Amino acid sequence: MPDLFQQQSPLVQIKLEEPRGAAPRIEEKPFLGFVNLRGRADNTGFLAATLKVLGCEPPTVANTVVDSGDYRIYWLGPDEWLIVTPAGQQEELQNALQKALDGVFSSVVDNSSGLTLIHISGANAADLLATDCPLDLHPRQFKHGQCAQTRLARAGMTLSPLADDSGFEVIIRRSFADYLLLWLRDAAIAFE
Amino acid sequence: MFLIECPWCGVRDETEFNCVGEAHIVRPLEPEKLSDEEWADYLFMRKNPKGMHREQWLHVAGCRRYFNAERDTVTYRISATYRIGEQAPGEAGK
Amino acid sequence: MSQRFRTGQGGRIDREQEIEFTFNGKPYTGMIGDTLCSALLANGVHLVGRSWKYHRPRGVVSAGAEEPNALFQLEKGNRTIPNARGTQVELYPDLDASSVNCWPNLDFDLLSVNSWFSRLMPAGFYYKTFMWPKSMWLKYEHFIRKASGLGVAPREPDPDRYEHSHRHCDVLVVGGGVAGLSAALVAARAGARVVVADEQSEFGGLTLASRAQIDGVEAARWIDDAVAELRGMTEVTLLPRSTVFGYHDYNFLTINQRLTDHLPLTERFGGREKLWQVRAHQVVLATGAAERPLIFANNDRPGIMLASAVSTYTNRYAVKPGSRAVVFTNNDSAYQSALDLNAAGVEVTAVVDARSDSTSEIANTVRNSGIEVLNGSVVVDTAGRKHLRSVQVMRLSADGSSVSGNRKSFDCDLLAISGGWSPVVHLNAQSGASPVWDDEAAMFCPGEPTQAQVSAGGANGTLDLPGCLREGAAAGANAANACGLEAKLAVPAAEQVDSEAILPLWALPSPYTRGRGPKAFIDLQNDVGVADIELAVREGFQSVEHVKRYTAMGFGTDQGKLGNINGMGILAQTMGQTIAATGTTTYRPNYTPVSFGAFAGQNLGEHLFDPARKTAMHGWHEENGASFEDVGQWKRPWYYPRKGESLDDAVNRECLAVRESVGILDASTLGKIEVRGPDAARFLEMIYTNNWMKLEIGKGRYGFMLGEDGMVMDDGVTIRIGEDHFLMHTTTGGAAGVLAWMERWLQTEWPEMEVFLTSVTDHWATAAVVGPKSRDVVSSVCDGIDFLAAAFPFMASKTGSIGDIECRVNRISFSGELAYEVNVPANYGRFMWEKLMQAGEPYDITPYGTETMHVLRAEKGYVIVGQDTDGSVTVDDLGLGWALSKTKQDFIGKRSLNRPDTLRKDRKQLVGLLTDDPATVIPEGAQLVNDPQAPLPMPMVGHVSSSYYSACCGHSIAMALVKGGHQRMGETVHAPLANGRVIKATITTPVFYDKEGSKPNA
Repeated sequence: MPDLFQQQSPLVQIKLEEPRGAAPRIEEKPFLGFVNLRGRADNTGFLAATLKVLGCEPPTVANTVVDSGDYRIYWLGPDEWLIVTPAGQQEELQNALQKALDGVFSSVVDNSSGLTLIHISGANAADLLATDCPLDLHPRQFKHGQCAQTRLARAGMTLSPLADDSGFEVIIRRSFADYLLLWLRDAAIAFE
Repeated sequence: MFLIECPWCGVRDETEFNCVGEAHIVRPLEPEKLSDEEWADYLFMRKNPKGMHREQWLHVAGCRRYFNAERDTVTYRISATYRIGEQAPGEAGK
Repeated sequence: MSQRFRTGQGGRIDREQEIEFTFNGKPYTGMIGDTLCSALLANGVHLVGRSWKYHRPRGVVSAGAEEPNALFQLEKGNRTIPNARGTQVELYPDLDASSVNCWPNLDFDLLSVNSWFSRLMPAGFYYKTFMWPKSMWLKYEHFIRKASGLGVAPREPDPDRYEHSHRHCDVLVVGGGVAGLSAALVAARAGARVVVADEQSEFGGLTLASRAQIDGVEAARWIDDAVAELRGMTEVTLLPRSTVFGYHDYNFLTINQRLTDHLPLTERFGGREKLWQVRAHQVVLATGAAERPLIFANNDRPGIMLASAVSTYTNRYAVKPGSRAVVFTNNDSAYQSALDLNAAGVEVTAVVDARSDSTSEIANTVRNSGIEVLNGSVVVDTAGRKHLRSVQVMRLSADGSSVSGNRKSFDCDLLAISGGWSPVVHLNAQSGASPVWDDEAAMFCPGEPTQAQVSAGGANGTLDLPGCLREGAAAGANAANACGLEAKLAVPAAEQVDSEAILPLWALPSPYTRGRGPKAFIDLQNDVGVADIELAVREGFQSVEHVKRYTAMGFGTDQGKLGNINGMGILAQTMGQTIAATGTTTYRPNYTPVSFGAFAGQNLGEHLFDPARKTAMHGWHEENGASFEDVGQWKRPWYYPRKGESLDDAVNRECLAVRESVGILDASTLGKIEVRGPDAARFLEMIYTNNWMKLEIGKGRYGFMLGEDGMVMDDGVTIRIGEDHFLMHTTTGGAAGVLAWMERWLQTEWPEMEVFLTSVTDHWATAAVVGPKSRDVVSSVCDGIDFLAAAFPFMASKTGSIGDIECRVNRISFSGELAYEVNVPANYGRFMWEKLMQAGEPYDITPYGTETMHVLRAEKGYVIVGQDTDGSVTVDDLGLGWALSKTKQDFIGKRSLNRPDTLRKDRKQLVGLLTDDPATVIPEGAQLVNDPQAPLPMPMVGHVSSSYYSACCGHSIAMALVKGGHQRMGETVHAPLANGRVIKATITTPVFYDKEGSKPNA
């Protein structure tokens, strides 16, 4: 396993401070594994192989997320998923999937350094995101277990409500992370 | 600002999408056998109708799927969206 | 007490809180709860501005958004607001207001001489007078702008924050009058997510000025209770001070909420305005109705006011808008104003009613209270220079076409006018409906909605209180039901008051000869009168849209809210056609002006205007003094100046360091796409112009992508990692577009192809180590790779490790030197970079930026797609025909290469240029000509696409696209510059350095 101490998160230049006033809390969960999985959902070989490795089939209901052991599997498209693993487990997962999917039309790509994950929590979490996210984030419409790829300000994000409506898990791209956190920090002033 | 029903993700805001032009333009199988006029027709000529128009959209900030939409260019109503490979709604009986 | 016109009791002002403010530098007092206009009226100030064209004295006409006259410049310096409608400005302590469009001051306006010449300044005056001769326009314009300007835009940066929010709801209720509140209550009680927006500080609308009862209590009390109930519901959002200014497609509405403008400057914290972008399942338009004025000679004097505004000032603001009043009407509603004035202690001399008779209960109540009612009469003229002094009344003929008899004069300082009501159909019309003329009610009513929307109350042409409550409640119930909820209809009760029909009147008959009498104004802000409409028709204008543009009717900041319907009526009258046939002008957003700040929101400045994408090594570049360049959204190091170095100094140093020893470039921004699947090679054969089937594993190849039109779209090196596995590199700016482009072919044209694409641009950090010493540096850092030339040739790719970290090293070159690109997962990017810097120390490794990269590649004649190409350049134009497969049957764009246009011999082709003077660098973008003495317009033969000084070559180098350039080697072209200088250059090959190309293979 590589030397984790040499890693830098995409947010290395951003200092995340304690929330002020009623502003939501923003925390990074750095260095998680992100494995992009592609395959055809009507291919029984693909489903069987992924079931074996992941402990469940990847979700085929659009915009849903499932947990299986340490893995969280996001639906990204009808033939695309994102598997989030604990830090450092991506290589093992990638190898296992690639082995199981040998000869099956599929693609397993490590994108762990390309993404990072943040939690936005607190009473105003949805309102903070709604500053410039066009999705309806009301708990009647968007619940734990659902996910969505959408936009935040002028960048993309993958969004999923945390359990108990306590906030949101937000996956963002490395190169946009700095911009998005500066933007979120600025938007949070409205709640301070 | 449209609301567009992605055939995969459901109803989303227009800002998540790109429109990429007229739908159902099929690339000729053997381009070399086409005359210049036929090739130019494939390349450049578009319908640009006043009224119902079938066009291709990309859910670029979402599932990255292309799909087709029937949109009235006068009222901006989108009467249907459908997946690539599916028949246009008005074509079912033909 | 200085507020001489304040009534002793009543109103919704806070009498405990007297506050000071200034108008045109003079101090006044008002109350919390006042508007600027109500406070001025309380002090007896009626003259508030001058008109736009004739600079006539003007006073407060209305109490709302339709106000054309009472426009103010608020505050000074960076918080100044131009053209604020004083009818909607809430008074706050120390407010500083001044009038606009008067010079040198309001009381003595020199430009009011324009008024004497008004007959010489008819509609279209500017078009006719100042546009010829054309050369003089700029001179005239300077004076016209001074004479006709309104407020002054702030010149300093706006110190305030502006916020944004997206909101989804079941029911958006626009307007918080009694109709809107009834709708909101019914919908919210059913559990709907409700948003109620009202432009005023208080909910209640016009009913705030009513003395009626609802559900057995005073209307104002009912309103308070309704608001309290709504406020207590979690799914209800109440937005006061919020103007719904745009109604777009798919029930997308935009709201501007004013958060702090009502507070003293010293107490304004947080955002000033908030822009709400609302998606509503159902919209209830309860925007009310606005009263219309009547149009007669000299109808613009201060003291002439809408009757409803008179009631609002009297009842809601406890202000007497005059001492002695005349009411002039063609309908029943103004009788209430007569009663309201009477109750407030204002003497009402007469009610002049154009209708031959008025027998409704309210008319009789007025008569019984001792007020004279003159039926069948109209006001024909007024007197009073800066304030109304008297009105003149004549008898109206039975058919309404003429006036007769003696002029009867009434002394008064207030004329309350009512020409009927116009539903505020703006949002209905913006949403796609066409307003419909109702002949009987004499009003444009909302058209058939094209979206999930309903109009209720005044907005629907329903003017009576019980009707408004009934329609509001029904609209709320229907909206909630349409959202799948079960609403219980509950209609608040109010007493029905009968009323008689209106007598529609447009241009009133006048005792004056047509076109000779005093002006009768339709649009008070733009000084458009009846005669202007008549002139426009005489001159042949027929469409209401054309008449509007010719006369400037409705062009002001009020957008014709007060005058346009009358204007359309007068146009119809003049043309002898119906109003329905005449139609309305187009209602467009914004309903009232919105500040630029509200639209910009927080998306301002260096960090938030547009995303700045950063690489994993960004911090290192900053710490080491890099200057950055924007490449697409990326921030890339441009050059690394050392102390005292200019851009040229730094680039010359960086270039020589790379050519002579070793340099390092952050190349992480190049697009990277994994192409996987059994058909990956077959797919690349279609996407690229060259051959891919036989590429060895572990080798890369440079390729061009064409659009289907045969033009170069992108380029880059793609590496074969496995039999079914490629890693594609795209240009920095082209990455997202190329991915979407390839997905489009796979998804829509070749779904049978088994290929998956995944972007890994952000996953990999890439350092290009470039120069004769690059092998020494990279080999000392990367383990597990044999760097001997024979084992690791040019265009090969190998994996190894840096410490424990996996890396991929590609031996590719964009500089013509021996070079390696080292890739690691970006979390380790800075670690890798510092390792390479450390290993390069003995060779004085030099970090370099995009400017040096550009010079190095230009020395080699390597093109940059998007700089040396512009979407109209083919591979052959670039002189790179070797990259086009001769054997492939098909690839994207191939067929277009045989189009007659693509085969033209005089296409612009890429060449090099050498200037006679080696130090002269031709500016990029310069146009090229053969003969700089040729007469104008000079035939242009091409343009310079890239141009630099090459320290390595010792002279300037340039790349250019020149017509037929490949056949013109050795010939001369000239670049005539804007400053008159002409640079002479010789056409050469674009390869200026290492022409045999041996260095990358070392």
